[in-house]
Amino acid sequence: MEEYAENFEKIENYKFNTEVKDCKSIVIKAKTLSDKKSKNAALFKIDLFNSEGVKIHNENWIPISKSVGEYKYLKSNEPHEISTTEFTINLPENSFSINLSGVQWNPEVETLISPSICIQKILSSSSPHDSKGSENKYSASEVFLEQPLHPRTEKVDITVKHLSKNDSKSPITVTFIDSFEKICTPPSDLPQSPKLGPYFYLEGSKGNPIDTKVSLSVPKEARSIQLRGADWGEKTPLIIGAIGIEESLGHDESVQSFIEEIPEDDHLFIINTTAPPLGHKTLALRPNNLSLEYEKMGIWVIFIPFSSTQDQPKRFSRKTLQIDREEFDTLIDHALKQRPPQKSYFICSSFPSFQSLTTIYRLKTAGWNTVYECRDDMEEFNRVGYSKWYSPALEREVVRQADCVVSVSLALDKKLRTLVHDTKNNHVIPNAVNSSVIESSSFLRSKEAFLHREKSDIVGYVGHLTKSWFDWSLLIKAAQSLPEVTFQIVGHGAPDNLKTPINIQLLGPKTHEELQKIVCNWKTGIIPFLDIPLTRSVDPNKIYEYLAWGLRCVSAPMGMVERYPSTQVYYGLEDFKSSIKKSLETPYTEHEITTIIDFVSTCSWEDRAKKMCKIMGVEIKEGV
Amino acid sequence: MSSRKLIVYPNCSKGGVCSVMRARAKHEPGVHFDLVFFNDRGGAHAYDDIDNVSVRIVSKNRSEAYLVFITTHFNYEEVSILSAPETANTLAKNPNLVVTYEFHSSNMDIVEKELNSLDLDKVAMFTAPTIQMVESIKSIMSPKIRLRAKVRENLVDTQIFNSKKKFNYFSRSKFDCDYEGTPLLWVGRLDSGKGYSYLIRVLAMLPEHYHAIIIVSLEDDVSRINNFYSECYAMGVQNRIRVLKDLSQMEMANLYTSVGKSGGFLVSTSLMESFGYSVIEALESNVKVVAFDLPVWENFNSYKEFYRVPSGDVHGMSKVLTEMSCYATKNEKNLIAQ
Repeated sequence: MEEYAENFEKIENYKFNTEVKDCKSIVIKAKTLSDKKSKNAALFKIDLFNSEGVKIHNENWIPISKSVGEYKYLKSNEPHEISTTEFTINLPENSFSINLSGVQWNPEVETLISPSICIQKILSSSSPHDSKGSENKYSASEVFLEQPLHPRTEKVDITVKHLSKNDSKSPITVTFIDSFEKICTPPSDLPQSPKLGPYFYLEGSKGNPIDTKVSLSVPKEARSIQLRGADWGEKTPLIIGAIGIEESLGHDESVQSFIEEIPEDDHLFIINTTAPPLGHKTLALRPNNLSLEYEKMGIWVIFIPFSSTQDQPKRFSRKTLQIDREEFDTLIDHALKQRPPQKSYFICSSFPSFQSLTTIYRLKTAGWNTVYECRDDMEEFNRVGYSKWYSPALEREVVRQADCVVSVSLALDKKLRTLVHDTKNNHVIPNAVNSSVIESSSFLRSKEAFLHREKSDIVGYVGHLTKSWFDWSLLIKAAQSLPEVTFQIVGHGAPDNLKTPINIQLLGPKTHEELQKIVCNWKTGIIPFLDIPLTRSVDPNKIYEYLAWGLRCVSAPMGMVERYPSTQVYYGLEDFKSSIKKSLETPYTEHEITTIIDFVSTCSWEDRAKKMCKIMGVEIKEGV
Repeated sequence: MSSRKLIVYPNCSKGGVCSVMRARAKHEPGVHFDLVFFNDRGGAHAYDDIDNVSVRIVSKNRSEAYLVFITTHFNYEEVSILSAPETANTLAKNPNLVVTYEFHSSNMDIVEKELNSLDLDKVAMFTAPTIQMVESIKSIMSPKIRLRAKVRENLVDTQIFNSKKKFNYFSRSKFDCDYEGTPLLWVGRLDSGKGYSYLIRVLAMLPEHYHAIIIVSLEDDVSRINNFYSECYAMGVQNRIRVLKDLSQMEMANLYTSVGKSGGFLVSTSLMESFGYSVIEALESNVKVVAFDLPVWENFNSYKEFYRVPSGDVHGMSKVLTEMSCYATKNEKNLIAQ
């Protein structure tokens, strides 16, 4: 209960009043939680008044008690779980205002309520619920509702459950109203009709109910939203129950309030990266992994993934926020205004774009610390059609301007030194593997596991399968020449119409949990990449995973892989085949197993995060 | 707030048109301004501090329906269209709307192209921000419509751009030149019309303590950025330039003030200008301005610290920048003079 105490209030303190003039009914949606499971722990006392302030009786309302009058019990799920109570009140004609008062009916239970309850005013005669609370079906042409909005709401998510009579397409128009009860300039993120204004369609075919979901931004001056249906003849569908309108606070507020939360003495890292958003189950690159470790070390992180946060949460954890790229300028404006520069860092992670460069100039002018982290040869990505934003001139300037430069491999570090000859604060900090992977796969590095795979003739690969760098031709030829060896390939992005021999098994993408059951049967992890500048400079993440899983590795020449234990680097098809055979046929020695285990223990992201902080001059508080 | 005005412009950025719209809205707090754009170019939050402005970014393909709807449902006292002749033609069909077409580009090829696309009989008025621009536009208009060409002066937000600010933009800077150098501020696009290559040549002629701070907004074309850096390297000034992007009006105002206090200059190498917002904002902020001469600068004659040299005169500009500098040594001034 304590974690909600800030945002929820005690039910017995809750009072709400709103005008319901001209409404035929209202839908109320409230979120509550209780500390004990109890069916009728709390309720709303409902009082209706006419325009003269005289209490009126609602003949449509059934639950009436002698002590509180008209009421509605609030739902209660498991203890400490949020429950939502939604109900409709059909109003008498002379209704002018309504009071809701919270009552803790069972005194042995503590019930809290979110003060931002949702009230939907239905102006048409159709009621979303009947007197027993069941969902009504009514024509979309009768939809006419208004919901007040919180002044800080910047986005609403509308959900309409509807049933079509036949193939149908019928509009719902959207209007925002300001605090002076005037119509706001219409929203622009919906289809527009010159006659109806902004609208969205309810589309469906005869059959099952469909949920139509629409998100739209709310004008800053809006204080309520109106939805109105239209009579579209036979194409007009039936609406089922109440229309859902969920409000969320705007981006700007979240960025600003997140930065305000950070104590002056704490460190903030802004990470601008080509990596995907935090929270994806299978896609986590170096910046994603390091962000998690930075937070564990007490550092606040604002993460800007390549495009958007997709469907991942923005407030990823207590000290980590991720934002969409469109909020970049807002973020920098607030960060510059609110943050002391000494403890503020901008990390450009393999994204030396014009936006990054101009931000580095701007933040350095304000005294911030700046870092360029080079994970890949972006020039080569650009050459094969990715990273259109890239230019060597921009990367050169980012290297020149950043306070320190970190590469993931010696090869990348060398390359950056060809761009800028007199670089001084350059470092190499290789990639790593998650501590959770190291820990959860420790059984794969046990003596039993090595014994189990001693006779295995399975080799495997985990990762992206694009033909831009995955050497399909080499793999297929090797598999044809080594029919006794099974090649299990995990990942997505394989080219269409691929013809593979029977001993190549394409298993598709897998989670870490699923992978453990697969890789325990492998003896060797392979990295069959094209020998091109794009791959040669990379420090492959997967080799750390292979070693954490207790696998030998056969890899194309990349980064510093030749320095890693139980790893053979191949040059060409014959070398690839013989390396695979050697890795499968050579018996393990105690020394080899010990070396793998020792190496893996030094390859955690925690270790890398500490090294990054050290070179950035970030002192970590003891005990964090 | 009973009165309402609509302004339509394709790009929502923090560039010059943003200054035009902000200043108008602040000048008429009793009027509600609906600003409609087609493309988000980083300026959507540039009006957050002004209550009487609503910003809407509508994709071009939805814009006609959107604008027809709002102009039939709201009562607009004035509708101004900038750089969107097709939109002007659509709205001008409504006899109840007073549609003004505003020219803010100094490029006469663009102006002529827009004029040729406009339904001239239905547009109520044509405006440009200076008399010089209006005269140029009239010269390519048919006599019948010349009478409808008027000056609509741009307004400068002197609440923000003034010499009273105490902010020091450089107080925490990690660039050594911010403490002991002479900043040259340059605002514009990295295209030939703005003459950025002249700035680089001027900088190359000047002593090392001069450095350039370049402010851009609508700039993401990699080839233009490459050309810019190539020119900087070719002229050996790569260590004396810095590029800042998408600064808010408040940050720009702080920057002007600090450049002025550092003994720096605003440099305008533009070869075409319809108004010259950065020049007037700098002058209002007490920053000395050195510019290639253009007809529109006649409007700023009253400012003392405004120095004009013939267009393209790199030597002349370098000379003025050295002579007017508080920090250039006598020897440096003599060298440049030679």
